This record gives sequence, C-alpha cells and structure tokens, in this order.
Amino acid sequence: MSPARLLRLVGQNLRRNKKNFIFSSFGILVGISTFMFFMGLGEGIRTVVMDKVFVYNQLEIIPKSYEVGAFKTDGGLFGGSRLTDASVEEIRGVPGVRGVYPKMKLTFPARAWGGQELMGRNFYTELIADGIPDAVVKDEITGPAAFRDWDAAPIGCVANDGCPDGQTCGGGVCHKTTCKPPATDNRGNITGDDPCPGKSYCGQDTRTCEMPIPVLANPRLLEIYNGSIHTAMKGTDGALSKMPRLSPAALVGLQFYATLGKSYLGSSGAGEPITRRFELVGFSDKAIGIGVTLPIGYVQRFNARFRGKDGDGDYHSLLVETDNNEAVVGVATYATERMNLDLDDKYENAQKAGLIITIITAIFTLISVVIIGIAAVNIMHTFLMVIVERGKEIGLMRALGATKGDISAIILLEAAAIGFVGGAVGSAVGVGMAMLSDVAFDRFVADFPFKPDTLFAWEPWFFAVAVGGAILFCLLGAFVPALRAANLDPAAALTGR
Amino acid sequence: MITIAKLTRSYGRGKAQTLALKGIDLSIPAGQFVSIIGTSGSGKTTLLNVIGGLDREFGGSVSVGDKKLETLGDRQMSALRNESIGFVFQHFHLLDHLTCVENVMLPSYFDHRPATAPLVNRAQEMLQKVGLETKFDDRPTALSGGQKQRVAIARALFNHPRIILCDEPTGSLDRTTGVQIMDLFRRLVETDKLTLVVITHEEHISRMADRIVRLEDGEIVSDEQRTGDAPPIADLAPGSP
Repeated sequence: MSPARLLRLVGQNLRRNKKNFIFSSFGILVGISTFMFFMGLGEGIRTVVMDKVFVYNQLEIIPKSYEVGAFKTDGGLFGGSRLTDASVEEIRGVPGVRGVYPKMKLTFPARAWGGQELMGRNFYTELIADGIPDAVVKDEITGPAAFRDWDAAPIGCVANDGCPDGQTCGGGVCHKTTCKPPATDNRGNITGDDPCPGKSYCGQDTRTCEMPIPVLANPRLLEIYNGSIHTAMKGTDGALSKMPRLSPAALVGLQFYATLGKSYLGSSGAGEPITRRFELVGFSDKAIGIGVTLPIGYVQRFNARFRGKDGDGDYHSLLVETDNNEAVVGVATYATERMNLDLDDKYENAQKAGLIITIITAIFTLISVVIIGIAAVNIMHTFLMVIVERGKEIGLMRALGATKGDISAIILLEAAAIGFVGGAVGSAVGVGMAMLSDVAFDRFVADFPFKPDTLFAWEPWFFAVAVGGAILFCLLGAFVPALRAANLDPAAALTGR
Repeated sequence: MITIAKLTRSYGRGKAQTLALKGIDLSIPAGQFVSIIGTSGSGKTTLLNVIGGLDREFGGSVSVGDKKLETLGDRQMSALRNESIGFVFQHFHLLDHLTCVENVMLPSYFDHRPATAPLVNRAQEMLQKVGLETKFDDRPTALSGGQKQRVAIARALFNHPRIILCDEPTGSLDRTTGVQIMDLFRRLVETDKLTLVVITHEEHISRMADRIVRLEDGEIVSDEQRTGDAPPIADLAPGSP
C-alpha cells in the first residue's frame, strides 16, 4: 500500500474512532506532560545551581594542610603541600585543562570604607580580598573600566596618548604626576579637593596621581543582598531600609577607600599603613565569594610590603578551567592523588548538588515513564478492542487485497498518530504547567539568593524525546494487536465464525 | 479458469475433526456463471473461501488462472485477490463511515498497479453501471438493502477482476430485489465476460446460472449445465415456483 493511501485510510479510521483514541491518548498526554515538566524543572534547577551557584567546567585547587589543635602545617613533616608557579605549570599540562589561574589572598590586616554616594553615608568594614591574573576575566570585563594592574610595569605612550588619568608621557613611557594630597579627617576620609585629573586621585603616601585599583565582586554577593538583606531590611528603620534592589550596572564604577596594613582588629607589624582608592569594575564568578578581587600583581606587592618574605611566595588556590565538565573529574583526581593537593569545598558541593538533582530528575522521569508505560498498556487494550470491533472490516480489507503487512501498518500508523498527537499536546501541556508554576513561584515565593526568573529550562531534545517516546510507547502498545490483526483469519472474520 | 482437484478442508483436530470438503474436483471455465447450491453446512461457503484465497488451510490443489493457490505467499495471494477476484457478500460489508464512492474505491488502496484513470471517476463509473448514479456521496446507512448490494457489486467490479465470487448475495434481500440483483449479475457476466461463482441456497436464484453445482455434506452430488436460455426475470418474481 502506498504511504499516501495508508495515511488516508488511517486518517479515516482515526476520525471514526475519535472517542476511543482520545481516551487512549489521554494517558500518553499525562505521561508526556509529566515527563516534560520534570525534565524542564530538573534542567532549570541544574542551570541555576550548576551555572550560578556552582560554576560548571571549573574547580578550585587548594594546598593540603593539616591542623592539629592550634598547629597548622602546609608541608614538610606532616605531608602537606604548597601551590607555586611549578604547580601552575604542572596542572596546565593535565589533559582537559583549558586554563590555570592562580589566586592569592591579602595576608595582612586591611579595612575599607565607602558608599557615601549610594547610601548617603559611608560604611566601614574589614577588607577581605584576593588577587587573580587579569587574563582570567579578559573576556568578561571589557571597556574603559578595565581590570588591569596599572602599576605592574611602565605604560608605553606616544605624546600622552595611551596614558591613564594623572600620568604624562615622557621618553615613550607614562610617568605619574606629582601632587599635594588633600586634607583628611581622623578616620582617613578625604575632606579637601583632590588635585588629580579624571579618575586618578592623589596618593597620601606616594604624593603622585594614582589610578584607582580595579576590583571585581562575585555576583553571589549581589544575590545575597537582593535576595536576603534587601528583603529582610524592607520596612525596617535605618539606612539599609531605603536601599533599592541593586543591579551590576548600578554598582559598576562605585569607588571606595581602603587602609592597607591596619584594620579594626589589628595592624601589620611591617610598614606604615597606606590608603588606596578602589573602583568596582565588574562582577565575575571568578571573584572571591565574600570580599573583592584585585589583579594579582597588587596583592603580591602589598603582601610583600606588609608580610615581608612571608608574603610573596605561594598561591592560596588555583582556579582551573576545563574543556568540559567531564574533564573536571580527571583534573581533580590528578591534583589530589598525584600532586597531594586538595579541592575547594565548592567542587564537592557541586558534585553532590549535581548528583542530587540528577537523582531527583531521574526519579520523576522514571515516574513519567511508568505513566507512559501504563498508557501503552491501555493503548494495547484499546486496540485489541478495536480489532474485535473491526474484525469484519479487517476481513474485508484482506478480501480486497490487503496483505498482512498492510493490516499491521494501518494499526501501527494509527498508534503512531495517537502517540504523535499525545506527545505533542503532552509537551505543550507540560510547558504550560511549567509556565503556570513560574507565575505561582514568582507571585507567592519571596526573594532569595539566586531566585531564578524561571524554574525551568528546555532543551530541543526534550521535545524530540517526548514526541518520539510517545510514538515509541504507542507502537509498543499496538504491536501485539497489529500482529493479531494481521493474522486474523479473513474467512472467519467475514462470516463471523 | 478455476481448477480444483481433490480439495479437502477440515476443522478441528482429533475426534472433534469435521471434514467440510471431502475431495472436491471441479473445473470452471472462464466466463461461466456457476451457482453452487446446497443446504446450510454443506461446505459451499468453505469452497468459495478457498477459491478466493481467504481460506488457505486446505488439502489438494486449487488453481485460479495460472496461479496455484497453495504455492502463493501472502503478498502474491493478496495481489491475486486485489487484481483478479471480486467478492460480494450476503451482508454487503460496506463501511458506514465512507460514502458510496469511497466504499467502491476501497480496492484501490491495496492496488500496487499505477492508476490508469482518476480513481473517483472509475468509482462513479462503476456505480453508474449498477444504477446508483444519484448515490455517489450517500453513506450506506441511507441506502436500501438492494442498493447496498449494488454498491458492493460496484466495489467488486472496481479493479476489473476476471472472477466474481458471491456468497449468498441475495440472502439479505427480498425475493424481487434478489432477482434484480441476479439479473444485474447476469448482464455483467455477459458484457464483461466475467466468471461468476454464486453460492446460494435458493433454487430460483441458482436457476439463473449457466451451471448448477449441488453440494451435500462436503461432496458434489450433482453438476448440471443449463440447456437453453436463462428463465425470464418475470418467472423468478414472487409467486413463481
């Protein structure tokens, strides 16, 4: 039988048995909509958790250290390990590694203050910071607010072109302009006018115009503020109660000051404290979770200044980017087993979170597959019933020249059509249920850190699997009835024997 | 040409086995109108089903044209039924959800040969041939018994078969309509040179055939050629013997 004639015949049969087939496809519809809902939910949660909370395709390696009471060791007798330039090079050579970026923490007391322009008054805090190479975020932080170490090396220039604010060109390199620092109050706040042009400011200790030190913040900080602090402070007294929800665009460009070498808790033994101006140039997942991240050159120089020989050596962690998520396991194994290093908790948490999400998604997907399976059994019953009802018709078709294959094809194509319709409508219903859930989630669930705009994420293959799976299960359900129909004795069917 | 040699057909097994056909030998030349008459259970429907390839579990040999049915596979047998044999049943077996034209076109769904003319036109032509030119788009539920059987005949003729097999074609019709249907058959045999095998238990219907084969208990008990012209329709109408 030609495909066109087969389709025509099947179309006629489906129209005739509408009620039966709508009833049959209802089970498929329920199963597929459940499948789509939970696949979308699983993928959505995975996207939020793995892309925002824990970042995919990367891990952070830290040196192994042992703590015994008040003693902590990171090498030598107790078998700990260190992170040096040699470690960086070794990990770079591990298969699947795309990039290795050392991180170094600020290892001396520091305090920061700022926020006058944003909140009407300054806030004061201990400064927690680390440093990463500029290259780590070169694709993320672009434009004039560059994440660069202005003091790393002399900047080349031609007649002042290419020099940052507060520097002039001489002999092919930029030179910082000397200046008279403005007056400050006893807390270090600038009270006089700054003589340096543009973004630059007059360094109290250097007496030259300096560019603000660019810093990055982690977007999770913003999420925690918007999701928890802002929600909690709404309607209370105090400056924070009037704070709006913050966006990266509103915060980039914000400047603040920090005193390095002295904090509210203590002072560095080495060197006089100095004050520097900082500028937030962007948000990145690679920035420290709580605090700010500087170009690593600043951290190395400040550590050397305030910690002496203790401060200029090892890195505190290595951020390793891999080609894909599968490579993460290999790199983690290499670092822990071959190099005696440890992994940041975040990696293990990400693994656990990923596993939990996968298990939950698998359970619900299994439930939906069971529903579809039951629907397939229902389809089998429906078709067996239909075949009994249509026995004479099948006998007639055999008398008119239908082969056994033709009869099977008619039954199977009817089942496939039910599967296609059930799968397509079920997918649409699943997506519709997801949209309703999103509306309810948005309306009834208060803000929290990383609250997503949608709980669901869709991959094109979900729809292909949903419709394909529905068709497959219907075909499986109709297989036995199709065989039975094909082998029906036409003479017996026609005479009603 | 239909040739049957030592045809047997049994149902059941062991002690419960019933022999429905007990070694039938029969030859029907092309273009002959044969009626097979017998009481209920004499094996006439079984014989027709075997000739039409609907019943494949027989012993002996059955040939339709140059095809030996016992050697044909499902595809070849199906093609033979589609291209060379037309069936007409007592209960018409029309599909109520289709129109008359669509019912008549049904054999075309299983015809692998390229269509020589638009199928709808051919179906309409067949319906005109059986006198139903005003019923093209009617559904079978709107037709009388005689009209339904005419649609079934049009369907049987659709693929221009060489053989028409009819199983009690007048069994569900009143005597007048039955005679009219048989007259239609007779005219078709004459104009289209068809081989017509009609199963019936009604004597007056069998008398319209060129040859009457009487079956009893699975065996041929008589095989008579009609001499002279077929009886006029009026003689077969109600009230006639």
